[in-house]
Amino acid sequence: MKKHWLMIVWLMMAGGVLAQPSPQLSGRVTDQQGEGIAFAIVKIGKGGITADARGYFSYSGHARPAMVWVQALGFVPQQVSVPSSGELLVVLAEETTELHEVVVTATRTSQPIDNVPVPVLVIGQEKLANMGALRVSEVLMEQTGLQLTSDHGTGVMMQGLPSEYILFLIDGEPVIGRTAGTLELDRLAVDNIARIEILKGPSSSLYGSEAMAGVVNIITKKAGPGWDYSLRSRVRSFATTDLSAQVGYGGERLKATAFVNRVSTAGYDLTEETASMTAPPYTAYTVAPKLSYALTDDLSISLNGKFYTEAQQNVAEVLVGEELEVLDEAAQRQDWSLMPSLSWHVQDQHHVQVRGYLTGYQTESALTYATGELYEGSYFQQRFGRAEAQYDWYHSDRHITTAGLGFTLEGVEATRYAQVSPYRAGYGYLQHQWIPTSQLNVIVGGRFDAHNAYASRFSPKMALGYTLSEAWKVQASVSGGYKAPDFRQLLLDFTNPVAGYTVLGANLVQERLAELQAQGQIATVLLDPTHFQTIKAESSLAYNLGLTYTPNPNWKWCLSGFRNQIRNLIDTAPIARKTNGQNVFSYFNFDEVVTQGLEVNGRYMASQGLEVSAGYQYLDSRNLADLERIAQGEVFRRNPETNRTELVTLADYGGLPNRSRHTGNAKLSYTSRRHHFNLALRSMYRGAWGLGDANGNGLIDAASEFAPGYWLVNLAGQKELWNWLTLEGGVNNLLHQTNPYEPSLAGRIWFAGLRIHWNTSQ
Amino acid sequence: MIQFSKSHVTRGAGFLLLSLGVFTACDNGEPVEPEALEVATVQDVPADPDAERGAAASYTFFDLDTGTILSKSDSATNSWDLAFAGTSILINGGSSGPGQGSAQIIDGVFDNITEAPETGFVVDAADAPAIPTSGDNSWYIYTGEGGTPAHAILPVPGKVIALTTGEGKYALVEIISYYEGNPDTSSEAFADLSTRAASRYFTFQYVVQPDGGRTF
Repeated sequence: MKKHWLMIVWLMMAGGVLAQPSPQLSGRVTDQQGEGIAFAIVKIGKGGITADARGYFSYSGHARPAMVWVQALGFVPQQVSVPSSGELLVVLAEETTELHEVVVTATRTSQPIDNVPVPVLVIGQEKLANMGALRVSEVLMEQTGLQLTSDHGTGVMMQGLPSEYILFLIDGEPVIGRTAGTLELDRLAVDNIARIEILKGPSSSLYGSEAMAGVVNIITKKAGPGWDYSLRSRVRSFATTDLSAQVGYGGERLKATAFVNRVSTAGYDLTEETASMTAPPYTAYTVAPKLSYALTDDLSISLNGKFYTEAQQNVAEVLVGEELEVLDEAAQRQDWSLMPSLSWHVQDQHHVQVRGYLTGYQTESALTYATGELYEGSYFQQRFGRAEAQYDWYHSDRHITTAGLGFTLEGVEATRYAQVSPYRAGYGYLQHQWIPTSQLNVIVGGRFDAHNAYASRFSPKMALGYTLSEAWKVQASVSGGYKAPDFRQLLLDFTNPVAGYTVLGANLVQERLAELQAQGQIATVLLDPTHFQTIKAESSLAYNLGLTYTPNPNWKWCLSGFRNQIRNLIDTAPIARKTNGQNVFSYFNFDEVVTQGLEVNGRYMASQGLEVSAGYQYLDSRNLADLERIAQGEVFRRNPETNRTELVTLADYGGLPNRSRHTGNAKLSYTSRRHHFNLALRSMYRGAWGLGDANGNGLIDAASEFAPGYWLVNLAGQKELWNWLTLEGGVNNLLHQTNPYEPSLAGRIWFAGLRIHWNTSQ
Repeated sequence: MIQFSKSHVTRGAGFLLLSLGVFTACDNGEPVEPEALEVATVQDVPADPDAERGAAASYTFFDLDTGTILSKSDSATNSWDLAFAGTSILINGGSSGPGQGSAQIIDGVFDNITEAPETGFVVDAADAPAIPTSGDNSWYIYTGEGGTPAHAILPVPGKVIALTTGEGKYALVEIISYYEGNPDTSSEAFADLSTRAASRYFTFQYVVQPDGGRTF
């Protein structure tokens, strides 16, 4: 960016010197809407001239050239034959940013997106700004192949796997703090995000646990040249207000930014019959400072931080004795993180990064009577620390080796969890990328994870990309993914005070069961604890295949298929019967499931700033053990109208819950550079999805067990009044859809706002 | 006495037609006509519907051979076969009665079961009934707060009670409903607790083999 800027200044000066009274060649450089391109560069032989602010240029050399090369930032360069006489009009096409986008998530090195043979989706800053989204959940739900889910927070589903199998990173470091596996995406503000990279398919070979369905890497904005100020304020339905401010300074060596966000909402209630609100009111603050300093041209250090705090109020109806009491519910949530890092380039071929990461997450909630007396309080605290070193070796254009080593320390303390000393884990990864010819691109890699609480794990990966022709590209990958048992599965020590059953985490089950036996609480042991095996991580093997067709710069089609075979899914099973007739449960590795599907995406970019795109995903998910039982004739259902028993057949099988077989979207955006406005119309469809069993067999096998699908239509518009002030407004969920099974659909939401932006280098 | 209704169908009719078709096509051997047994469905057998909290359970004693409710005074005889109170179902054997009753849960579609198991029958014990109300072989599930419908007792499909009666004859029983009038459990009236039919009324279908054999 900076180099370009210097070049423009230099060329402006050069152009001034070259200006002569009688031009050999003059003309104008414009964009496709006829608007002049300021300071476009016209290269003639070895020299060159710069157009003026309105795109006009004139050349007074020795002779009229036969050929010129015209370029400008943000446009596709063009070689132009010069006619023997007359003015020269050059029309440049806008560069489609995606073609030259650089991604880091796929290989853990910066690479042009075309250079990585794995499925990556990038949502750039312009798209993010044009959507008018406040929180990351709103951005992700509009992408093909990602489904919004609500389970102890707003999450997404990718390749048929829920949030707990998706690794979320901010600037490459994992975000912690999940509830029942879901990472609340409403915790993450959008305004300081430069881009979001979404890597589909498992990448445990680079990232370890949780990167089983894929990786979502949120890359925050860097300080631009000079001082940069921005302020964005928005109001929405349900008394939602959002205010963001960012100050940045980018100097020769020092770069610093500070981002502050406040969001608050009055919430909404879709269930009038209950006292508690569907989405309770809350207020949240985010503060994210970033600092980096280049000690030399090759060595730089940086420190990023993030602090988040949220307070929520609701009421809850609780049966106290025989009385239904309405209690006040207050919940607080905080997270913080610090990321010091060092980056050292040794000559051009070696790059060493040393990164530290310290993060914490805590929640506290309390149910109190109207009198102020406490009914129940609970807390959860998690700490995570990591030290990691990575070395990238660019042997030549054809070979890149990446190797990393790391160590993590993780601890948890919570109301229902047993006390333990922190968990320790170590890992190493190695990856080699080989580009033997301009057509072929090969990546081979693997990662070994050793952990003190569950079995060690190796995750391999192999990916191939092949360019068949200018228009056709194919890519294929085979990779392993895994998800470590979470704290709940390892450490839960919970006895339901009303029902009397007990759930014990895998790490303490033997000890606690012996204690219960000694206390005389156990009637029968169903599974002998000495035969328990060490709990294993849930693991997967996945295949991804993709075909891209780009007949010309305006059109792009992608077809991709995926299949995830997942083993050792963790679930509960009874291990003993208590004397009160209830069971003791623990966690075990059980089931084998398969998720597979097809995805199609098409995009057309018309020259006049119009972009049309559409995407569709077909998803099939199945539990192999359930299918086997159905095939054996061992699964029955109750016809809820007659209450008679029927045999379930394979044709009745409706897959795993919460997965929509059909999802898709269609989007249209129009940008007028001349009139400085933008409109983005998006429509998302989510097909029917299985809710859960309603006819007594634990499976989804009847139409009544599905939630109806819905369409969302979102519209956002922005108008730049001056280059420092932009107004925005729009509506989400224009069709006012609500769905009793999707509590995040609040109905129609209007919004309006303004953005002030100023950069001293402009 | 609360009335309950009873209906009959002939068991094995469908099976007979099917076998005839097969044998005609194969033209091989003589068709063997299984003796058609009568499948009875009884509705609304009360299972202590007016129970009061803390009071001892008041069982309804049922005779499968005659399809009638017996008086409580018959509880000490071997003439009753099943007794109902709430979700608990007793057989006339072991700790529950003087008869030859025993039972076990088998998986299958009631109409397709042609033979009772040879072994595996157990008698009632003080805290372990032969027809369990919890665990994998419970005859019902409780849907709970989040269930559809919520807080309902629904029979588990495919769970058939194979039993010996008080007089030692083999029988098959399938519980169909726990609510008065065998209501549509997917209806709105059932989902709404204020309009839901009264609980503790059993509807079930059964068949008894009077010849003492295990085949049906």
